Amino acid sequence: MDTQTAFQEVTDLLQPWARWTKQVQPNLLTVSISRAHLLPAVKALIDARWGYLSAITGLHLPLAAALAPAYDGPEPDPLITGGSFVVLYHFCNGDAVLNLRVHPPSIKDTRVPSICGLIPSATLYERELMEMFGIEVEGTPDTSHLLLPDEWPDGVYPLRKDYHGPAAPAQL
Amino acid sequence: MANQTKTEKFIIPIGPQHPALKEPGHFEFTVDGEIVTGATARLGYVHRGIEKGCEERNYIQDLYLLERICGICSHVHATAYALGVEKLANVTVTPRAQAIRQVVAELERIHSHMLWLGVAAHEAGFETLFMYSWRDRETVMDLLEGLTGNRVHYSANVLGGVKCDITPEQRDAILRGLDYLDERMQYYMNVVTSDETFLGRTRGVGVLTYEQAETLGSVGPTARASGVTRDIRLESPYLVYSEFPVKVILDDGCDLLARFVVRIKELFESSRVIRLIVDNLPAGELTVRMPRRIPENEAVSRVEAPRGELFYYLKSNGTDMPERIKVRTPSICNWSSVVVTAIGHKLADIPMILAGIDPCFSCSDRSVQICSASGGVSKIWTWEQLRQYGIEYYR
Repeated sequence: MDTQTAFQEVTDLLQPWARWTKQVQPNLLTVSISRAHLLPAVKALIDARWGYLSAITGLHLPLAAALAPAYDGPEPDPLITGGSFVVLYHFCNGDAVLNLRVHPPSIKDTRVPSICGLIPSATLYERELMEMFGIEVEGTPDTSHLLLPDEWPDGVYPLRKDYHGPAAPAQL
Repeated sequence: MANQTKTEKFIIPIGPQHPALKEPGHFEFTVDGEIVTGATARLGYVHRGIEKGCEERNYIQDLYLLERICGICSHVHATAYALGVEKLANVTVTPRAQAIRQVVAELERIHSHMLWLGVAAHEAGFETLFMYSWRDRETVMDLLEGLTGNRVHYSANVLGGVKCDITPEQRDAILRGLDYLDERMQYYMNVVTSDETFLGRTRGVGVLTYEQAETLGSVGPTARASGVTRDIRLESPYLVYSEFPVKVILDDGCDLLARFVVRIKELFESSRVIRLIVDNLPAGELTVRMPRRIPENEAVSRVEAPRGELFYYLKSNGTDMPERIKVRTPSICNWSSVVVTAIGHKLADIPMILAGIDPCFSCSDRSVQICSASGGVSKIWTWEQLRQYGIEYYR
C-alpha cells in the first residue's frame, strides 16, 4: 500500500472522532482527537490492522502554544500557567506514519486513558510519560519508575520545559 | 512438615551488576526450583538525560550527543537524527552522501552482529566462538576506522551529508575485508547450526511465537526470527535502500537458534549490499548547505538499526535548538519479549535468552546528569566544566 492510500484509509477510519487532520510531511499525518475518543480510535486502528504502535511521545507546550486551536474540552482557563501537554501516539504502516494527537486541557488536568488494555506493550511508553512529564495515565497497569532512580523526588518531571536540572554545579 | 509443603514464591534478584551481561540491569526472577515462573525488569541505571540535553543544545551539538546514545550502533542514531533534521529543513542530501551513509550503516550492522555473536557464544560457555568472532570483528572495525577515523563513534554524518568519502583504495580494502568476512561467516553458520553442544543451548530455547512477537511489538532480528516481516529498510526505504535494496531474512524457528541464523544470514546480506554500493557509488558532492535555524515543523525519522526499528520524533521551533527530540530505541521494544519467553525455562538458560534479543542498556535508558563520582561525593558537572576537564586531561 502506498503512503497516500494508507493515509486515505486512516482518515476514513478515524473520521468519526477526528477534530482536525493535517499532513505535516509527505509521510506524516497528524490526526487530533479528544481524549474521550482515544480508546475507540485506537481500537479502530487495531481492528483494521492499520500499522502498529511504534512509540508514544509527550510534548510540553508553554502557554502560548497551548492556546492553539487543538485542545480537548472547554475553553482553557488563561489564568492557569504552566501550559499543557500533548500526547502523540505514533502508528506506523509501511512508510506512512500517523500521529494520533491527544491534547488534555491544562497542566492541572493531564489525564489521558491508558491504551494498555488494547496494546500491552504501551506500558513502557506510558510509564515514561508519567515519570518524565507527570501526565496522569488512567488505568495503566504499572506506575513504578522506569528510567529515573527510585529516590527521585516526587513532583519533579525532567522533560517539562520549566525543569533545568539540578542547580549549582560542584567546583572541580 | 507443614512448612515444607507450603508453596512460597522464591525470588532471585539479579543485578544491577549483572553476572552475565556487561551492562547494568536489574531482574527479578520468580523460581520454582530451577524453573522460572515469572520475571520483571528494572532499567534506568545508565539513564543520562539525553533527550532533555538535546533541547538545550543546537542542532549540530545534538548530532554528536545523540550519536553517543549507543556505543555499538552510534551511526544509526546519527543517521536517524540527520535524516529527521534534513526533513525539517527541507534539504535534500546528494545520493553519494546517502550511499556512503548506507555503507557505514551496513558495516556497522556487521560489527554489531559479530559483537553479538561473540557475546551470545560467551553466555553459552562457548569461549572459542566468542574469541573467533571478536577477532574477525576487528576486520570490520579496521574498515570503519579507515573510512571515518574512528572505531566506534565514527561521526560519519554531518547535517547535510557525510564528512568522509570512499576512495578507490578504501573501496579495495572494503572488498578485501568482506571477502575474508564472508568466508568466516560461512564458518560461523556451520558452527551454530551443527555443533550439538551449542544446539543444545539454542534449539527450542526462548520460543517467541509469531503472535507473541506481533502483540509484544518486537522488532528487528528478534521479530524476524519469529517470522514477522518487519524491516524499515524495506517498509520505508531511506538513504539509498530503494536503489540498493536488501532482502528480508525471515525464519520461522522462533527460538534462539533462529535468532542466530537470522543474524548470520543478515551478515551475508549486508556484505552483498556493501559490495554493490561501493562498486556503483553515485557521483556528487558530499555535503549540501544546511541552515542554522530550522523553521517550525515536525518530522518522524525511522531507520533499521542492527537491533530493529529505531524511531525518532523531532519538533523544531524556528530557533537553532530543537523543541523536542524523542528517541525510541529497538531494545525497549524487545524487553517485553524476554520477560515472556523466560517463563518456563531453567534459570541457567536466562543469560542466553537475555542475550538473544541483543539487549542494549544504554539504548533502553538513553536519556541523568551525574558525570563523575569522585571521593565518594557525586558531582554534577556543567558542559563547560566537562569540556575543560577533557582539555586538561589530554594536555
